[in-house]
Amino acid sequence: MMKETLGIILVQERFNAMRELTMHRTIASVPFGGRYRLIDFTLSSLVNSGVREVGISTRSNFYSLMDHIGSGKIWDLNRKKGGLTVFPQSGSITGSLAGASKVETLYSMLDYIKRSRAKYVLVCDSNIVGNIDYNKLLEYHIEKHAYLTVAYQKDVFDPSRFHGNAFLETDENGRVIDVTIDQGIQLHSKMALGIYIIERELLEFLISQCMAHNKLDFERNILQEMADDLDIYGWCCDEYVEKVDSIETFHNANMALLDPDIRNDLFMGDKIYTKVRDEMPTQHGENAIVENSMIADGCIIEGTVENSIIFRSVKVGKGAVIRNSIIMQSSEIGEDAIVENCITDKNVVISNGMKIVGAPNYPLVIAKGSKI
Amino acid sequence: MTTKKECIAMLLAGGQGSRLGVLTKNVAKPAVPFGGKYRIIDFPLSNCVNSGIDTVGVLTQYQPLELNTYIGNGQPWDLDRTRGGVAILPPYMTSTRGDWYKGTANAVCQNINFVDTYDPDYVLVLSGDHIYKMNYDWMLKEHKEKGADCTIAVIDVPLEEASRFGIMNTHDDNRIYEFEEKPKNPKSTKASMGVYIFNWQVLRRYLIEDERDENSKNDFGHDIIPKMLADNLNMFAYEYKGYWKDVGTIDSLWEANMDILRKGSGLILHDEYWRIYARNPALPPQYVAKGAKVCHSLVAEGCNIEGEVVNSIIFYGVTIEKGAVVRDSIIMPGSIIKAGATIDCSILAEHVIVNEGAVVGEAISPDKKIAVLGSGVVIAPNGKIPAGEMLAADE
Repeated sequence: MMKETLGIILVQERFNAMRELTMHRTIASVPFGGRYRLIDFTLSSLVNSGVREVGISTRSNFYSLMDHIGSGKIWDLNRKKGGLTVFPQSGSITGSLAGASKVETLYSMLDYIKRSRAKYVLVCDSNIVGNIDYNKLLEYHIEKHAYLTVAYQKDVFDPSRFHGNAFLETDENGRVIDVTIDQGIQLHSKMALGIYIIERELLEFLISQCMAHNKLDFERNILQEMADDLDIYGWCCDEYVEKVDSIETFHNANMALLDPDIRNDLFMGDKIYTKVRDEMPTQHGENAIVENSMIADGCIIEGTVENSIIFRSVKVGKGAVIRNSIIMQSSEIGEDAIVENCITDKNVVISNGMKIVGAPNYPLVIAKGSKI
Repeated sequence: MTTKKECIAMLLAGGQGSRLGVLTKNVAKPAVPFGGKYRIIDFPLSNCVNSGIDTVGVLTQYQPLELNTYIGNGQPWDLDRTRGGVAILPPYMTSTRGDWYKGTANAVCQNINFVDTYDPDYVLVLSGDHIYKMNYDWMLKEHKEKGADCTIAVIDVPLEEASRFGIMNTHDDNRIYEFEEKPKNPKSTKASMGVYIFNWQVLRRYLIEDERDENSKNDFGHDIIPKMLADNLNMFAYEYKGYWKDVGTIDSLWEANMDILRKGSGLILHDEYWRIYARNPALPPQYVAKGAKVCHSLVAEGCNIEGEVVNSIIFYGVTIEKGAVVRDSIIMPGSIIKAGATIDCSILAEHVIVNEGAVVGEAISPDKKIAVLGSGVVIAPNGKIPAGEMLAADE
């Protein structure tokens, strides 16, 4: 059924809470889980659900994203018909300094959307970690005869999530009856995931209408304002899902991978695909001690690693200790160095004997390429 | 558009590898897994592409299904090309004949048309059963400089082992004057690596001639090379220095795997400039649990390790449960070692299940005998497999 669906991934900007991690890259290309980038989960979920046609819109700093997805071959999206199309955007149509909104971006893609023969369009953000079967979303959408269906995560009570997110209330039938955005206090607990499904022709109409009336904010002007008039339904995503939009959520989502149930949910069903780097398997040295950690290929581990996520091609020297940390690709941790509660971006070098310790509730982020 | 190539490779991958026993029951030798994520054929294929050779014919015959699927369109080795790339060449029927490949030379001979398509000046002939990293381009350069008709790569072996190899006897300038297959009293220590470069037009003539000879075994080492020597062609040895191992036996396969772990063995796979490519299984990173112990070992992606792993090669997607111990062993993809089982000095093929408390193999000793479990074997709880045992799954 998803074969008749066009997937559109909107790579959003301005994730200040991601600190150094999005300084030189889009949120979509933030490394995650030892060998992935965030967008791998959305792309793989779409493809595993049967989508054969995906458009990705991205704005600034998209080099790493383009390099990562290439022709889309890894996801089998290098197709003659459909396949992957990337829309590098520049500026906003209305000249807004804040960059283009979702509505403007979709408007700029209208020709592409119109040319598709898909019956439905699935619009989603690029920062959702999950292995989601979108067929269930579409079935729900059809069953409810919905105009628009939005996916949500239930039971979100963390106040740090209130800012920047839309929360929903639905009636017993699943229809959205109230939407709060930037709620200051706990009003609703169903957090919208930025995943929408709608019939293609309706989307074309909706976006054209909104653009014409200068209603540019998808969440405020469509989801919120139109909830009374249109049949907008909420679909509860029951599988493991995590929206990554801050260092804290990034850290938590990575550490969640150490839980076997979550690993099962994410990786044991359909595969999550990512760019291949042809590393050799990881070498554990004579004195290596590794406990409760995820370690990608190509590493050389001579020291101690506990409760951590180690990306590809990381070197951990003799006597070094890494705890509760996320060490990204090609970093080097010198002999006898101690790294605790840290997130080191790619190609970071920690010299012999250095001690770098962050706080458990505020991990230290070390920018790409730093030498310490 | 011209399809002319200066040099193309013909990779002999049809061998059964009967000395590998149950490991090659259902797959050809070149498809046998190696080094945690590779298969043997990844080495010559990666060498080709790293040496700038972008056209490779792979000659398959014995149990080709898995090998053919594995090679596919050649994409993992960057051999999915518009011009050239990898081509799988099984034996085929024509209006006048239809034969299996009778020997290595016959295999190339039956594919003269394939080679001619590229009108190459040189043909590199390789075998699919050696572990080594080699720049064939350097060898080709020497071949051209010496104006050779045929160049044979040789490696220096210890004199006491020389009688196990095909030995090239050469003059000081490396010109070959004699070839002896497994000589009792070797005159030289230059062992043939099974890597040849021929001038295509010369080889083409000899292949056709050899085909007419009913007494010929149609084999490069047995027939073509001696014939060329007898005819006084310009034949040179190319001295290769580096790691090279024939992994044709259980012992040598085990040793070559262990060489990855052994410092100073010369087998270095951690090499940015000479990557060995392999088809990727797309699995998550390995997970090593609390209480697990992994040391002096190679562990690939998708593994779940809760037990103890010492001095071993663990391929992708292997599960080692709590209390299980794996020592001095090679565990191939997808195998499961259940709680409390012990594996010593063994090779486990793909998707083997060793149930709770079972014991496979015996602790390593100087006269080690390696236990081998074939693909899909299931060992019962508390079962015992003695050292040196070789077991295949029931049909």
